[in-house]
Amino acid sequence: MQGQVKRAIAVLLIGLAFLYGPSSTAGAAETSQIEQLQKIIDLQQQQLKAQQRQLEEQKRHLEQMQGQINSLLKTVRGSDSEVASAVGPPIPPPPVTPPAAPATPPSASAPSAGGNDDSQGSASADSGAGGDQSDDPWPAPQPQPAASDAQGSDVVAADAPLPSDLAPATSIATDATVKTTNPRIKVTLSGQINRAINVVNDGEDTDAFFVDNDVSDSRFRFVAEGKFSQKALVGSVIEVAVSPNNSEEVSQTNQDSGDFIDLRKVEVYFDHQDYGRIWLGKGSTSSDNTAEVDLSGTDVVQYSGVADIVGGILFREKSSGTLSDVAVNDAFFNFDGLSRKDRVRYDTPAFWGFQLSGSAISDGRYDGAVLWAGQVHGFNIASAFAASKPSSSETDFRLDGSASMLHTKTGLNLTLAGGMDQLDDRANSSNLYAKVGWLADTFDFGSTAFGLDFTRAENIDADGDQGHVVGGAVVQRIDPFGTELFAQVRWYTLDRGSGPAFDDIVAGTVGARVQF
Amino acid sequence: MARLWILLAALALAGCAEVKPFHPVQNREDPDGPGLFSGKGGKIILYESPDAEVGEDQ
Repeated sequence: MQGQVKRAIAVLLIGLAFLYGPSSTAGAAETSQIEQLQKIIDLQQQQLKAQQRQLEEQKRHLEQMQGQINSLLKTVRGSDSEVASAVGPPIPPPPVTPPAAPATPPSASAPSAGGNDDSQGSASADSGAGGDQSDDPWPAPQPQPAASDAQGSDVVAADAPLPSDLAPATSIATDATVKTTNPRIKVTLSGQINRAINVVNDGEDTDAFFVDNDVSDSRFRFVAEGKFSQKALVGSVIEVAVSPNNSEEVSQTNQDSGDFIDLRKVEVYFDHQDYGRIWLGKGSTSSDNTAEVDLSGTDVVQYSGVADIVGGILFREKSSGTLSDVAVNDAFFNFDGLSRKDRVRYDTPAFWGFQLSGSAISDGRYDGAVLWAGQVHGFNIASAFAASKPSSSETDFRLDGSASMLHTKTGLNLTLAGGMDQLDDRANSSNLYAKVGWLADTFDFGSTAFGLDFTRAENIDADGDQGHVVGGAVVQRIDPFGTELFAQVRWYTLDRGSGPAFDDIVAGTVGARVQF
Repeated sequence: MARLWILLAALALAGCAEVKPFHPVQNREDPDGPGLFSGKGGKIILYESPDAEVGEDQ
């Protein structure tokens, strides 16, 4: 453009020289020359205006391209289809207006006001886009003014490749996705419905019970996380169990136990990849789940907490045939640490697969745990061990642990768990659990898991108690629907050291857990 | 006896050398996998800041 201006000025100077130079004698020929010069100047002005409009069009086009690049970067982790929808249809290249023909009469020149209006219109649209870009945490560098591109050449072609100035913009923006220091917030809702039908024979009667499966009861949770760097985040969880007719409460005498609502988790956590995680609020203590490590795939209905699925069912006295006050969950317990409590908890980062954890809990309780997980020689292995101090005055301490290993090639798996309470005034109570399983990929839509387990419990409800449970279960995943269908059979036996003998309880279960 | 302990320690170290990271999912507590309505991620996103991928790469 500057070249054009120079040429126009040169023409002007020549014209002036003709007008006022020593050779000027003010003749008719000179007048015609002046008129010709005037025409040339007018044409040059028209050309300059046309080129200015074209350059503004080019600028608008480049800014649209920049907007597209930003959209791509925002969706760069999404699927291809998401990216395509985010980008939208390609923007057609702006029409290239040829420079005004020299033959165009001055009266036909584009109105300058109209041209300015156009540029202002695009400028206002651009300013809107610019506003978006100012909010955009991945700001791309502004393209160089089109004039600099036009330097040395008359017009930049509309279909020319992007200026090289824009090339580094992509890489800079991509880096920004990794190195940004802006907090990144995500709030999610998740949960599940887990319903089951238990058919229970207590030695005398057989009844069906429609329950919420307490093994993993129906619940929903809100999780909010803010990531402040690649290594640090702050999160909070509110998790509520909404569990009508919970299987822990339903019994032969209370088949409609009503609504069970439990604030399972109300907590905040601070996590740093190098320094570990601190939890504050109500949630899992360090020892929670340490007796329940399970890789079998059947643990939606079959795990070391063998009582959960029919916890409220009462044993019937053999001699009189009357229902006792001893429920399944009185006689069987897996000593799984201190469950969920109001606490402050710290987890170390994992090192060589190990992780240490400790928590201080309300009412003078505390616990500590060691966890290890790793993949060795084709086996996935997970294990945990915990020691805890319950608040009960009769319990000195509680020990529990579990381990589970899955052979990834065959799907065969083994799970072991155990726990005990050291008691002051009576014999220690304990529980041992073992399960063998097979996790098969029979169907395309989800894995099929089979499990056989055995439990031995001692002195849990009373001194001299011996309980045994044998069970079998199958769980079919239907991944496209986020669903697990399950069925199981369990046989509970409780022998008392003293007092009345009890009938065995046999329970069959079918049900489904649906994640929404 | 001391030799036995040394042998066991050597075996344990040899075993550790083969260990690869493994992060078990607590299937009963917070199951991994797709949801009926939420799809592949299993979580319905209520809010996400424009550049957020929080939780995906933990």
